[in-house]
Amino acid sequence: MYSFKTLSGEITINQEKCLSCENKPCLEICPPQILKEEEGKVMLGIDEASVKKGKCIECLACELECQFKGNGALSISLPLPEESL
Amino acid sequence: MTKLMEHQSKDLFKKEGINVSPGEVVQTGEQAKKAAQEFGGAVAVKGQAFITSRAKAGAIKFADNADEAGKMAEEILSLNIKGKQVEKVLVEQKLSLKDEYYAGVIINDALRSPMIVFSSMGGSGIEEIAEEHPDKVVYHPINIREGLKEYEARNILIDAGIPSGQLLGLATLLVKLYNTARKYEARSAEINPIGLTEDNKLFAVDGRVVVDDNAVFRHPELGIEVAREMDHPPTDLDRIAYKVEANDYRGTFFFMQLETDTSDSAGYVGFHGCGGGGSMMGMDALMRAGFKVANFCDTSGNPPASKMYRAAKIILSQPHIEGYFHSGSGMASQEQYHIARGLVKAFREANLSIPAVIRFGGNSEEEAKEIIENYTKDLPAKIEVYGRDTSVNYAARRLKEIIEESK
Repeated sequence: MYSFKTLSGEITINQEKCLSCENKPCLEICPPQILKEEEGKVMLGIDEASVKKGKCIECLACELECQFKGNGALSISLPLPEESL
Repeated sequence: MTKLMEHQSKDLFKKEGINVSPGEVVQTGEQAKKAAQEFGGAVAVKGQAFITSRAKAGAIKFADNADEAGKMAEEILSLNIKGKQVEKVLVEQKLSLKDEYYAGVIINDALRSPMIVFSSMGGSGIEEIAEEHPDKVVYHPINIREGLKEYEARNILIDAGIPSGQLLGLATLLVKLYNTARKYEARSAEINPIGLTEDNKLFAVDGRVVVDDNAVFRHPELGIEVAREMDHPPTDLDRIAYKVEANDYRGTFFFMQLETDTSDSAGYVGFHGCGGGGSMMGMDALMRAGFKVANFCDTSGNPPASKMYRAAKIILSQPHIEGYFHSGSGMASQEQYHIARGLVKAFREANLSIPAVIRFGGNSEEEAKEIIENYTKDLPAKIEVYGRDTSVNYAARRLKEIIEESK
Protein backbone atom coordinates (compact mmCIF):
# COMPACT_ATOMS: atom_id res chain seq x y z
CA MET A 1 0.00 0.00 0.00
CA TYR A 2 1.38 3.36 -1.03
CA SER A 3 1.24 6.07 1.65
CA PHE A 4 2.70 9.40 2.62
CA LYS A 5 2.41 11.75 5.59
CA THR A 6 0.68 15.11 5.53
CA LEU A 7 1.00 17.84 8.13
CA SER A 8 -1.36 16.15 10.56
CA GLY A 9 -2.33 12.86 8.96
CA GLU A 10 -1.52 10.20 6.42
CA ILE A 11 -2.83 9.46 2.92
CA THR A 12 -2.93 5.85 1.80
CA ILE A 13 -3.49 4.79 -1.81
CA ASN A 14 -4.28 1.28 -2.96
CA GLN A 15 -2.57 1.66 -6.32
CA GLU A 16 -3.91 -1.66 -7.59
CA LYS A 17 -7.35 -0.07 -7.54
CA CYS A 18 -6.02 2.97 -9.40
CA LEU A 19 -5.10 0.74 -12.34
CA SER A 20 -8.74 0.11 -13.13
CA CYS A 21 -9.88 3.68 -12.38
CA GLU A 22 -10.43 5.45 -15.68
CA ASN A 23 -11.14 8.98 -14.51
CA LYS A 24 -8.70 9.39 -11.62
CA PRO A 25 -10.73 12.35 -10.30
CA CYS A 26 -8.30 12.83 -7.42
CA LEU A 27 -5.72 14.32 -9.79
CA GLU A 28 -7.82 17.17 -11.04
CA ILE A 29 -9.54 18.09 -7.77
CA CYS A 30 -6.30 18.55 -5.79
CA PRO A 31 -5.85 22.35 -5.37
CA PRO A 32 -2.04 22.31 -4.94
CA GLN A 33 -1.70 19.60 -7.64
CA ILE A 34 0.60 17.35 -5.65
CA LEU A 35 -0.54 14.06 -7.19
CA LYS A 36 0.49 12.52 -10.51
CA GLU A 37 -0.25 9.40 -12.51
CA GLU A 38 2.50 6.98 -13.53
CA GLU A 39 1.75 3.74 -15.36
CA GLY A 40 -1.87 3.95 -14.25
CA LYS A 41 -1.06 4.45 -10.60
CA VAL A 42 -1.63 7.59 -8.55
CA MET A 43 1.30 8.80 -6.50
CA LEU A 44 2.96 11.92 -5.17
CA GLY A 45 4.22 14.28 -7.81
CA ILE A 46 6.42 16.23 -5.41
CA ASP A 47 8.81 15.32 -2.63
CA GLU A 48 7.40 13.87 0.57
CA ALA A 49 9.11 16.41 2.82
CA SER A 50 7.22 19.31 1.19
CA VAL A 51 3.95 17.47 1.59
CA LYS A 52 4.58 16.87 5.25
CA LYS A 53 5.45 20.52 5.75
CA GLY A 54 2.06 21.60 4.45
CA LYS A 55 2.07 21.46 0.67
CA CYS A 56 -0.88 19.11 1.02
CA ILE A 57 -3.49 21.43 2.49
CA GLU A 58 -5.57 18.55 3.86
CA CYS A 59 -8.67 19.71 2.01
CA LEU A 60 -9.90 16.08 1.87
CA ALA A 61 -11.14 16.63 -1.70
CA CYS A 62 -9.10 13.74 -3.13
CA GLU A 63 -10.61 11.27 -0.69
CA LEU A 64 -14.20 12.27 -1.40
CA GLU A 65 -13.68 12.28 -5.15
CA CYS A 66 -11.95 8.90 -5.04
CA GLN A 67 -14.60 7.34 -2.81
CA PHE A 68 -17.56 8.64 -4.80
CA LYS A 69 -16.31 9.09 -8.36
CA GLY A 70 -13.21 6.94 -8.44
CA ASN A 71 -12.38 3.44 -7.33
CA GLY A 72 -12.27 3.93 -3.56
CA ALA A 73 -8.50 3.60 -3.54
CA LEU A 74 -7.52 6.62 -1.49
CA SER A 75 -8.17 7.18 2.20
CA ILE A 76 -6.96 9.74 4.69
CA SER A 77 -6.23 9.03 8.31
CA LEU A 78 -6.48 12.03 10.62
CA PRO A 79 -5.86 10.84 14.18
CA LEU A 80 -6.92 12.90 17.14
CA PRO A 81 -4.26 13.79 19.71
CA GLU A 82 -5.63 11.07 21.96
CA GLU A 83 -7.42 8.29 20.16
CA SER A 84 -10.01 7.79 22.83
CA LEU A 85 -13.13 8.95 21.04
CA MET B 1 -8.35 33.68 30.26
CA THR B 2 -6.98 30.86 32.34
CA LYS B 3 -8.07 30.82 35.94
CA LEU B 4 -5.88 29.33 38.61
CA MET B 5 -7.40 27.74 41.69
CA GLU B 6 -7.05 29.46 45.05
CA HIS B 7 -4.26 27.17 46.23
CA GLN B 8 -2.31 27.65 42.99
CA SER B 9 -2.71 31.42 43.20
CA LYS B 10 -1.56 31.40 46.80
CA ASP B 11 1.54 29.43 45.86
CA LEU B 12 2.46 32.27 43.51
CA PHE B 13 1.78 34.91 46.16
CA LYS B 14 3.92 32.99 48.62
CA LYS B 15 6.82 32.81 46.18
CA GLU B 16 6.68 36.59 45.87
CA GLY B 17 6.88 36.97 49.64
CA ILE B 18 3.23 37.56 50.49
CA ASN B 19 2.05 35.84 53.69
CA VAL B 20 -0.49 33.10 53.23
CA SER B 21 -1.96 30.94 55.99
CA PRO B 22 -0.32 27.57 56.45
CA GLY B 23 -2.43 25.15 54.44
CA GLU B 24 -2.54 21.80 52.72
CA VAL B 25 -4.43 20.64 49.64
CA VAL B 26 -6.18 17.30 50.23
CA GLN B 27 -8.60 15.05 48.39
CA THR B 28 -10.30 13.04 51.12
CA GLY B 29 -11.95 13.66 54.46
CA GLU B 30 -9.31 11.53 56.18
CA GLN B 31 -6.50 13.60 54.70
CA ALA B 32 -8.30 16.79 55.76
CA LYS B 33 -8.58 15.48 59.33
CA LYS B 34 -4.89 14.67 59.39
CA ALA B 35 -3.96 18.10 58.03
CA ALA B 36 -6.17 19.80 60.62
CA GLN B 37 -4.55 17.75 63.38
CA GLU B 38 -1.12 18.93 62.29
CA PHE B 39 -2.20 22.57 62.31
CA GLY B 40 -4.07 22.24 65.60
CA GLY B 41 -6.98 24.49 66.52
CA ALA B 42 -9.61 25.88 64.19
CA VAL B 43 -9.22 25.51 60.45
CA ALA B 44 -10.90 26.70 57.28
CA VAL B 45 -11.92 23.96 54.82
CA LYS B 46 -12.17 25.43 51.34
CA GLY B 47 -13.37 23.63 48.22
CA GLN B 48 -11.23 24.42 45.21
CA ALA B 49 -13.60 25.50 42.44
CA PHE B 50 -13.71 28.18 39.76
CA ILE B 51 -16.55 30.15 41.27
CA THR B 52 -16.84 33.24 43.39
CA SER B 53 -18.91 33.33 46.60
CA ARG B 54 -17.90 29.79 47.48
CA ALA B 55 -19.12 30.21 51.05
CA LYS B 56 -22.68 30.78 49.77
CA ALA B 57 -22.38 27.62 47.67
CA GLY B 58 -21.37 25.66 50.77
CA ALA B 59 -17.82 25.17 49.55
CA ILE B 60 -16.13 27.03 52.42
CA LYS B 61 -16.64 25.94 56.02
CA PHE B 62 -14.91 26.53 59.33
CA ALA B 63 -14.08 23.69 61.70
CA ASP B 64 -13.17 23.92 65.38
CA ASN B 65 -11.33 20.61 65.45
CA ALA B 66 -9.84 17.90 63.23
CA ASP B 67 -12.88 15.57 63.33
CA GLU B 68 -15.14 18.37 62.21
CA ALA B 69 -12.66 19.32 59.47
CA GLY B 70 -12.73 15.76 58.12
CA LYS B 71 -16.53 15.71 57.99
CA MET B 72 -16.72 19.12 56.39
CA ALA B 73 -14.15 18.15 53.78
CA GLU B 74 -16.25 15.10 52.89
CA GLU B 75 -19.33 17.30 52.55
CA ILE B 76 -17.50 19.74 50.31
CA LEU B 77 -15.97 16.95 48.21
CA SER B 78 -19.47 15.61 47.57
CA LEU B 79 -20.57 18.94 46.09
CA ASN B 80 -21.23 19.26 42.42
CA ILE B 81 -20.70 22.86 41.38
CA LYS B 82 -21.86 23.75 37.86
CA GLY B 83 -21.83 20.10 36.87
CA LYS B 84 -18.32 19.48 38.13
CA GLN B 85 -17.39 17.54 41.20
CA VAL B 86 -15.18 19.34 43.72
CA GLU B 87 -11.98 17.31 43.70
CA LYS B 88 -9.75 19.15 46.15
CA VAL B 89 -10.08 21.08 49.36
CA LEU B 90 -7.62 23.40 50.96
CA VAL B 91 -7.32 23.00 54.73
CA GLU B 92 -5.91 26.15 56.27
CA GLN B 93 -5.22 27.45 59.71
CA LYS B 94 -8.05 29.80 60.62
CA LEU B 95 -6.86 33.34 61.19
CA SER B 96 -8.32 35.78 63.65
CA LEU B 97 -8.79 38.97 61.68
CA LYS B 98 -9.53 42.46 62.86
CA ASP B 99 -9.82 44.00 59.40
CA GLU B 100 -10.18 42.98 55.75
CA TYR B 101 -9.19 44.74 52.53
CA TYR B 102 -9.37 43.99 48.81
CA ALA B 103 -6.58 44.46 46.28
CA GLY B 104 -6.46 43.59 42.62
CA VAL B 105 -4.19 44.14 39.66
CA ILE B 106 -6.35 44.08 36.58
CA ILE B 107 -5.49 44.67 32.94
CA ASN B 108 -7.71 47.52 31.84
CA ASP B 109 -8.21 47.29 28.09
CA ALA B 110 -9.67 50.79 27.88
CA LEU B 111 -6.59 52.27 29.56
CA ARG B 112 -4.26 49.79 27.84
CA SER B 113 -2.45 49.32 31.11
CA PRO B 114 -2.62 47.42 34.36
CA MET B 115 -4.71 49.04 37.04
CA ILE B 116 -4.62 48.69 40.79
CA VAL B 117 -7.97 48.41 42.46
CA PHE B 118 -7.88 48.73 46.21
CA SER B 119 -10.77 48.74 48.64
CA SER B 120 -10.51 49.48 52.33
CA MET B 121 -13.42 47.08 52.77
CA GLY B 122 -12.80 43.52 51.61
CA GLY B 123 -14.33 40.11 51.91
CA SER B 124 -17.25 38.27 50.42
CA GLY B 125 -19.43 40.22 48.00
CA ILE B 126 -16.76 42.69 46.92
CA GLU B 127 -18.82 43.70 43.86
CA GLU B 128 -21.69 44.80 46.12
CA ILE B 129 -19.27 46.56 48.47
CA ALA B 130 -17.86 48.53 45.53
CA GLU B 131 -21.38 49.54 44.48
CA GLU B 132 -22.58 50.49 47.95
CA HIS B 133 -19.37 52.16 49.14
CA PRO B 134 -17.69 53.68 46.08
CA ASP B 135 -15.74 56.03 48.38
CA LYS B 136 -13.84 53.03 49.77
CA VAL B 137 -12.51 51.95 46.39
CA VAL B 138 -9.53 53.47 44.59
CA TYR B 139 -8.65 52.76 40.95
CA HIS B 140 -5.14 53.62 39.85
CA PRO B 141 -3.57 52.93 36.42
CA ILE B 142 0.05 51.79 36.40
CA ASN B 143 2.70 52.81 33.89
CA ILE B 144 3.82 49.40 32.73
CA ARG B 145 7.35 50.60 31.95
CA GLU B 146 7.81 51.94 35.47
CA GLY B 147 5.90 49.30 37.41
CA LEU B 148 4.27 50.00 40.75
CA LYS B 149 6.52 52.05 43.00
CA GLU B 150 6.22 51.76 46.74
CA TYR B 151 5.43 55.48 47.17
CA GLU B 152 2.74 55.17 44.52
CA ALA B 153 1.21 52.27 46.44
CA ARG B 154 1.21 54.37 49.61
CA ASN B 155 -0.60 57.19 47.78
CA ILE B 156 -3.27 54.73 46.62
CA LEU B 157 -3.74 53.59 50.22
CA ILE B 158 -3.92 57.15 51.52
CA ASP B 159 -6.61 57.88 48.92
CA ALA B 160 -8.51 54.86 50.26
CA GLY B 161 -8.33 56.22 53.81
CA ILE B 162 -5.90 53.66 55.24
CA PRO B 163 -4.42 54.86 58.55
CA SER B 164 -0.70 55.61 58.60
CA GLY B 165 0.13 52.63 60.80
CA GLN B 166 -0.96 50.24 58.03
CA LEU B 167 0.57 52.07 55.09
CA LEU B 168 3.98 50.44 54.96
CA GLY B 169 2.79 46.83 55.24
CA LEU B 170 -0.05 47.24 52.76
CA ALA B 171 2.10 49.20 50.28
CA THR B 172 4.72 46.44 50.32
CA LEU B 173 1.99 43.87 49.78
CA LEU B 174 0.54 45.84 46.84
CA VAL B 175 3.96 46.00 45.17
CA LYS B 176 4.40 42.26 45.64
CA LEU B 177 0.95 41.61 44.22
CA TYR B 178 1.76 43.78 41.19
CA ASN B 179 5.05 41.93 40.71
CA THR B 180 3.24 38.58 40.87
CA ALA B 181 0.79 39.74 38.21
CA ARG B 182 3.57 40.93 35.91
CA LYS B 183 5.78 37.91 36.45
CA TYR B 184 3.06 35.45 35.44
CA GLU B 185 1.48 37.77 32.83
CA ALA B 186 -1.84 37.79 34.61
CA ARG B 187 -4.95 39.43 33.25
CA SER B 188 -5.91 39.80 36.87
CA ALA B 189 -4.44 38.97 40.26
CA GLU B 190 -6.68 39.57 43.21
CA ILE B 191 -6.44 39.09 46.94
CA ASN B 192 -9.76 39.17 48.70
CA PRO B 193 -9.59 39.54 51.51
CA ILE B 194 -6.23 40.76 52.61
CA GLY B 195 -6.58 39.93 56.29
CA LEU B 196 -5.10 42.04 59.07
CA THR B 197 -4.53 39.84 62.11
CA GLU B 198 -4.76 40.87 65.74
CA ASP B 199 -0.97 41.08 65.84
CA ASN B 200 -0.95 43.42 62.81
CA LYS B 201 0.26 40.95 60.21
CA LEU B 202 -1.15 40.93 56.68
CA PHE B 203 -2.21 37.71 54.99
CA ALA B 204 -3.62 36.78 51.60
CA VAL B 205 -6.66 34.96 52.97
CA ASP B 206 -8.14 34.22 49.55
CA GLY B 207 -7.01 35.08 46.08
CA ARG B 208 -7.25 34.37 42.41
CA VAL B 209 -4.82 34.76 39.54
CA VAL B 210 -6.08 34.68 35.96
CA VAL B 211 -3.34 34.22 33.37
CA ASP B 212 -3.47 35.61 29.85
CA ASP B 213 -4.16 32.65 27.51
CA ASN B 214 -1.59 33.90 25.04
CA ALA B 215 1.13 33.95 27.68
CA VAL B 216 0.54 30.46 29.04
CA PHE B 217 3.14 28.85 26.76
CA ARG B 218 5.81 31.00 28.41
CA HIS B 219 4.91 29.59 31.82
CA PRO B 220 5.24 25.81 31.81
CA GLU B 221 5.93 26.08 35.53
CA LEU B 222 2.22 26.83 36.05
CA GLY B 223 1.28 23.40 34.71
CA ILE B 224 -1.74 24.74 32.81
CA GLU B 225 -3.16 22.01 30.59
CA VAL B 226 -5.78 24.01 28.73
CA ALA B 227 -5.30 27.76 28.35
CA ARG B 228 -8.95 28.71 28.25
CA GLU B 229 -11.33 30.57 30.50
CA MET B 230 -13.46 27.87 32.01
CA ASP B 231 -15.76 27.44 34.93
CA HIS B 232 -14.58 23.87 35.38
CA PRO B 233 -11.29 21.97 35.30
CA PRO B 234 -10.68 20.70 31.75
CA THR B 235 -12.57 17.58 30.71
CA ASP B 236 -11.11 14.85 28.48
CA LEU B 237 -12.81 16.46 25.49
CA ASP B 238 -11.44 19.90 26.42
CA ARG B 239 -7.95 18.41 26.60
CA ILE B 240 -8.17 16.58 23.28
CA ALA B 241 -9.60 19.62 21.52
CA TYR B 242 -6.94 21.89 22.96
CA LYS B 243 -4.22 19.61 21.66
CA VAL B 244 -5.73 19.79 18.18
CA GLU B 245 -5.44 23.56 18.37
CA ALA B 246 -1.99 23.51 19.95
CA ASN B 247 -0.58 21.22 17.26
CA ASP B 248 -2.16 22.88 14.25
CA TYR B 249 -1.54 26.57 13.51
CA ARG B 250 -3.94 26.69 10.55
CA GLY B 251 -7.02 28.65 11.57
CA THR B 252 -8.43 28.68 15.05
CA PHE B 253 -10.29 26.00 16.92
CA PHE B 254 -11.92 26.96 20.17
CA PHE B 255 -13.77 24.17 21.91
CA MET B 256 -15.41 24.10 25.29
CA GLN B 257 -17.53 21.41 26.83
CA LEU B 258 -20.45 23.28 28.36
CA GLU B 259 -22.24 20.32 29.85
CA THR B 260 -20.38 17.45 31.43
CA ASP B 261 -23.46 15.39 32.24
CA THR B 262 -26.02 15.15 29.46
CA SER B 263 -27.55 11.89 30.64
CA ASP B 264 -30.87 13.59 31.39
CA SER B 265 -31.26 13.93 27.59
CA ALA B 266 -32.94 17.29 28.02
CA GLY B 267 -32.61 18.54 24.47
CA TYR B 268 -28.85 18.81 24.12
CA VAL B 269 -27.23 19.67 20.81
CA GLY B 270 -23.65 19.92 19.67
CA PHE B 271 -22.83 23.33 18.33
CA HIS B 272 -20.24 24.19 15.74
CA GLY B 273 -19.90 27.80 14.68
CA CYS B 274 -17.51 29.64 12.41
CA GLY B 275 -16.33 33.06 13.51
CA GLY B 276 -16.95 34.64 16.90
CA GLY B 277 -19.95 36.80 15.96
CA GLY B 278 -21.61 34.10 13.91
CA SER B 279 -21.04 31.61 16.69
CA MET B 280 -22.69 33.87 19.24
CA MET B 281 -25.67 34.30 16.91
CA GLY B 282 -25.84 30.54 16.52
CA MET B 283 -25.78 29.95 20.28
CA ASP B 284 -28.51 32.54 20.82
CA ALA B 285 -30.66 30.97 18.12
CA LEU B 286 -30.31 27.53 19.67
CA MET B 287 -31.30 28.86 23.10
CA ARG B 288 -34.30 30.64 21.59
CA ALA B 289 -35.33 27.41 19.91
CA GLY B 290 -35.33 25.72 23.33
CA PHE B 291 -32.14 23.71 23.11
CA LYS B 292 -29.42 23.20 25.66
CA VAL B 293 -25.96 23.49 24.15
CA ALA B 294 -23.73 20.59 25.21
CA ASN B 295 -20.57 22.00 23.73
CA PHE B 296 -19.39 25.11 21.98
CA CYS B 297 -16.94 24.96 19.14
CA ASP B 298 -15.78 27.85 17.01
CA THR B 299 -13.51 27.22 14.06
CA SER B 300 -12.38 30.29 12.20
CA GLY B 301 -9.54 31.91 10.29
CA ASN B 302 -9.80 29.52 7.34
CA PRO B 303 -8.87 26.22 8.96
CA PRO B 304 -8.33 23.22 6.69
CA ALA B 305 -10.95 20.53 6.23
CA SER B 306 -8.89 18.23 8.45
CA LYS B 307 -9.41 20.58 11.37
CA MET B 308 -13.12 20.85 10.64
CA TYR B 309 -13.27 17.06 10.61
CA ARG B 310 -11.59 16.84 14.01
CA ALA B 311 -13.90 19.52 15.41
CA ALA B 312 -16.98 17.66 14.20
CA LYS B 313 -15.67 14.36 15.50
CA ILE B 314 -15.04 15.81 18.97
CA ILE B 315 -18.47 17.47 19.06
CA LEU B 316 -20.19 14.25 18.03
CA SER B 317 -18.33 12.22 20.62
CA GLN B 318 -20.27 13.85 23.45
CA PRO B 319 -22.95 11.37 24.50
CA HIS B 320 -26.70 12.03 24.46
CA ILE B 321 -26.73 14.90 21.99
CA GLU B 322 -29.86 14.96 19.90
CA GLY B 323 -28.66 17.07 17.03
CA TYR B 324 -25.72 18.75 15.34
CA PHE B 325 -25.93 22.42 14.48
CA HIS B 326 -23.43 24.24 12.35
CA SER B 327 -23.85 27.91 11.65
CA GLY B 328 -21.33 30.16 9.98
CA SER B 329 -21.13 33.90 10.01
CA GLY B 330 -23.03 36.28 7.78
CA MET B 331 -20.35 36.36 5.12
CA ALA B 332 -17.03 34.71 5.91
CA SER B 333 -14.12 34.97 3.52
CA GLN B 334 -13.13 31.38 4.13
CA GLU B 335 -14.01 28.78 1.53
CA GLN B 336 -17.05 26.95 2.79
CA TYR B 337 -16.26 23.73 0.94
CA HIS B 338 -13.42 23.04 3.39
CA ILE B 339 -15.99 23.01 6.16
CA ALA B 340 -18.30 20.83 4.09
CA ARG B 341 -15.66 18.21 3.34
CA GLY B 342 -14.57 18.04 6.97
CA LEU B 343 -18.15 17.56 8.11
CA VAL B 344 -18.85 14.93 5.48
CA LYS B 345 -15.86 12.86 6.57
CA ALA B 346 -16.86 13.06 10.24
CA PHE B 347 -20.53 12.36 9.52
CA ARG B 348 -19.71 9.39 7.32
CA GLU B 349 -17.29 7.89 9.83
CA ALA B 350 -19.91 8.23 12.57
CA ASN B 351 -22.65 6.96 10.20
CA LEU B 352 -24.54 9.95 11.54
CA SER B 353 -27.91 9.05 12.96
CA ILE B 354 -28.86 12.29 14.74
CA PRO B 355 -30.38 15.16 12.75
CA ALA B 356 -28.08 17.92 11.58
CA VAL B 357 -28.64 21.39 10.23
CA ILE B 358 -25.78 23.09 8.46
CA ARG B 359 -25.96 26.77 7.59
CA PHE B 360 -23.09 28.08 5.52
CA GLY B 361 -22.23 31.73 5.20
CA GLY B 362 -19.35 32.71 2.98
CA ASN B 363 -17.34 32.02 -0.15
CA SER B 364 -18.38 29.10 -2.33
CA GLU B 365 -21.34 28.23 -0.19
CA GLU B 366 -23.28 26.74 -3.12
CA GLU B 367 -20.43 24.33 -3.72
CA ALA B 368 -20.35 23.55 -0.01
CA LYS B 369 -24.08 22.86 0.04
CA GLU B 370 -23.72 20.48 -2.90
CA ILE B 371 -20.94 18.57 -1.12
CA ILE B 372 -23.11 18.02 1.95
CA GLU B 373 -26.19 17.15 -0.08
CA ASN B 374 -24.44 14.77 -2.48
CA TYR B 375 -22.22 12.93 -0.05
CA THR B 376 -24.49 12.43 2.95
CA LYS B 377 -27.74 11.34 1.32
CA ASP B 378 -27.10 7.66 2.14
CA LEU B 379 -26.64 8.35 5.89
CA PRO B 380 -29.42 7.44 8.36
CA ALA B 381 -29.63 11.00 9.70
CA LYS B 382 -31.78 13.73 8.24
CA ILE B 383 -29.43 16.52 7.26
CA GLU B 384 -30.57 19.90 5.99
CA VAL B 385 -28.23 22.46 4.53
CA TYR B 386 -28.76 26.18 4.04
CA GLY B 387 -26.88 29.27 2.94
CA ARG B 388 -26.53 32.77 4.31
CA ASP B 389 -29.92 33.80 2.92
CA THR B 390 -31.52 31.62 5.57
CA SER B 391 -31.63 33.16 9.00
CA VAL B 392 -29.84 31.41 11.82
CA ASN B 393 -33.08 31.45 13.82
CA TYR B 394 -34.90 29.58 11.07
CA ALA B 395 -32.07 27.04 10.86
CA ALA B 396 -32.24 26.41 14.62
CA ARG B 397 -36.02 26.03 14.47
CA ARG B 398 -35.65 23.53 11.62
CA LEU B 399 -33.28 21.47 13.73
CA LYS B 400 -35.89 21.43 16.48
CA GLU B 401 -38.57 20.34 14.04
CA ILE B 402 -36.60 17.54 12.44
CA ILE B 403 -35.50 16.22 15.84
CA GLU B 404 -39.18 16.10 16.83
CA GLU B 405 -40.11 14.42 13.55
CA SER B 406 -37.40 11.80 13.96
CA LYS B 407 -38.55 10.74 17.43
